Amino acid sequence: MSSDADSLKMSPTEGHHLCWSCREEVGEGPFCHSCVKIQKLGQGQDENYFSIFGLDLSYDIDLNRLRQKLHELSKKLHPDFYSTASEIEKTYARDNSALINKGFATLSDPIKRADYLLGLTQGNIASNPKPPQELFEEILEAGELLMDQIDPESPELKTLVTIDQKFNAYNDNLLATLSELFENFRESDEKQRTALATCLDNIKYLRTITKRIRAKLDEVT
Amino acid sequence: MAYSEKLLEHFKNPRNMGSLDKNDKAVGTGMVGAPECGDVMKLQLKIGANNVIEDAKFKTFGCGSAIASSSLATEWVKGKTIEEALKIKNTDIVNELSLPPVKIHCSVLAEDALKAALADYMQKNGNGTEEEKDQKDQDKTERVS
Repeated sequence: MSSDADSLKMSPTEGHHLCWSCREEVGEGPFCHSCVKIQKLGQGQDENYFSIFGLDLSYDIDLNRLRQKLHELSKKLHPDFYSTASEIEKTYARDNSALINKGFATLSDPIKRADYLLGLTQGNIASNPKPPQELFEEILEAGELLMDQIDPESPELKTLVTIDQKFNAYNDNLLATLSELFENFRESDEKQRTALATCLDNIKYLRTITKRIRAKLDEVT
Repeated sequence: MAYSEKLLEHFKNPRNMGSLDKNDKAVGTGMVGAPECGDVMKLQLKIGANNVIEDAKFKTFGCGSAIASSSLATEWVKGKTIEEALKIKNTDIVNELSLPPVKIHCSVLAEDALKAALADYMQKNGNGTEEEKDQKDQDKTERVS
């Protein structure tokens, strides 16, 4: 993703906040730079899941790096290490562990990551982007098929497998489009924002129907 | 959490499931969805003389509450005029089916589908400009992929 100054920009001012223990400035990361005591994550003005995991604010992220960082942070912040610490440190360790787990769940999922990233930016979406009529028809058709009893030898099963493949292909295309849209995204551009939101919606519709199709296929085969 | 008898009845025996010819000038089609849960609802109305709704059909992909909400909506609108149908609110559906708070969005979807179907009918029958119709035809040719 481009590092253009005005793409996905956040306010550039660093959030200054002080250590609860030594009252010095804490700096980045979960530990005070002066006294090394654990700090509550997510308190800084510009802190977000991306910054907590040491990632640039962009849709395309290095998932390996994310996983690596999760393990690193989990090790450092595990509540077990704080069993003899003060109550405040115990609480912070617990809260931080919960926070990084939630952050990982958010960033590792393409849909949640896109939603989160859009939420960090500001701007308007056109009031009523049109629903994708063709996709809806296809989903309704698939939904009808799911209501029937499907025999392993029946032609319906073949149809369902074909529909599943078709939806997967749609999904791959939409994810590629989403990535492209984020790459060129200017948050003040309403058209771009609407295109992004629409693309994301379509991915969400596909997520539900494909989940149900897969459950049905597992049940039959 | 227990669902009401009425809801279960509509879910088990949905009324008016099916389709009408969307190219029929007398038919209004409303297609709406809720991305977060992935529900999709299609509601169609056939409107006869004096703006009376003669027939209503629906297809819903979604949870039991979404199916029951759309089933109830089609049952209610039959025999009503457009004006009367426009007065149906999602809260009426919530009350009738005793929908729990987490399922209120299903009734909103049913109301939206109903409104969209009526709007489509009115647009088809002269209440929309030619330009809008052209735009609609163009929209139809756009694909999701």
